[in-house]
Amino acid sequence: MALRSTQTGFGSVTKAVHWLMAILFATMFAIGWYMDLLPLGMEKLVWISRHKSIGVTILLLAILRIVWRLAEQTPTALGDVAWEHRAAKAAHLALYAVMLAMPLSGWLMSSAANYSVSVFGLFTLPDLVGPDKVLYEQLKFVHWALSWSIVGLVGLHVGAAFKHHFINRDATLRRMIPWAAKGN
Amino acid sequence: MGGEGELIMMTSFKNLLRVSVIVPAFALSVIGVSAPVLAADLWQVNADDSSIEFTGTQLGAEFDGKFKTFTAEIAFAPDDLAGSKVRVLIDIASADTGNADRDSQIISADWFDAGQWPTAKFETKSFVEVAPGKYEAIADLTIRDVTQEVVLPFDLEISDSKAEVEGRLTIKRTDFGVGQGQWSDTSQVGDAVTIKIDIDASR
Repeated sequence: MALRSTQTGFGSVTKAVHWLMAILFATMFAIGWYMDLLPLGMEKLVWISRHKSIGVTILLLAILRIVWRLAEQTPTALGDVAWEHRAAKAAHLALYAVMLAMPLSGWLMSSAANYSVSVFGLFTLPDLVGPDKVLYEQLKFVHWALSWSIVGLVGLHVGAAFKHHFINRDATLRRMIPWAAKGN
Repeated sequence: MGGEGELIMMTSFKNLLRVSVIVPAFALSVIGVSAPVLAADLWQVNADDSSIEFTGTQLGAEFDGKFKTFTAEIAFAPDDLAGSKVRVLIDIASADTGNADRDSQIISADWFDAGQWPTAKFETKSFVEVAPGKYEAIADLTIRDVTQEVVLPFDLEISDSKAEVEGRLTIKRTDFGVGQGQWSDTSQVGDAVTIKIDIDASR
């Protein structure tokens, strides 16, 4: 399998980052809820630490992913319904947007709360804004709202992939499978 | 002397940075008892230009805070270190780290337990001049019910009736029982806390 995507199939880099991102998204959603429900204690802090570190990892991966995507060609979308192509394009753009917006809102939120973000204890990110209780509450809402937007977008993404696979019976889902040979 | 008393009243009603200097000698003189003769000069803290700040680490990242309320009795003269004495009382509940959740944690039973021990005390035992303008204060620091001897190195600049003191001291919070039970684990909330004092005083 080639590293780079072609006109008809995804390269191994795109596939790897796609699935890694999918796993990280699901993990972050689970950790986010779990840590929120934990009572204030050591355990909660440990999970908040992990949540922040993984969040920054996602932000870096998202940037790499966007750069990579712009630097290579993207396989042509399958199917011949024009509005579906437009909807898919919009949904993919929205997914890229939340990949950046979600960690950024978390980083901003941590800054506003005066809890700087340490990444796996290796380094600390600079604060984006000063301590601000009102802004913190607003960002907390944004972070929460974005989490459900992501659930909606991922649901749409998965639903559309299944629709292509089971109804249109085309290669849309198949060509993203890591072990599958490229092509449609 | 009466003016000093008024100043104490005024500053203690200030909303921000309520720093007052309570010098026993002044207090005695206000009620008409003659003040004992002190060799070292008595200094009065200028609230607006003085601060006691601290830096801790949480989840691997540093955070800053300050104690907004403290009082200091300062009798200090470079040429009479033996007769010099400083006593600072810090109002634990005035801790402000820019985060309401953390501030309410700080005063809770597991941490400073401000309900039981509302003040931290810093009381000097002796002073050493290490270089011109550079000193060390050997003092007893009391936080919660633990008293430990600490050494606070500080820089002092005196010009006419004004003095500026800057010092920095790193302590281990667990030495003072700050962080009980599960919080005695220092992996998420670091053990080392740096206290930074910046005092502007006049005589």
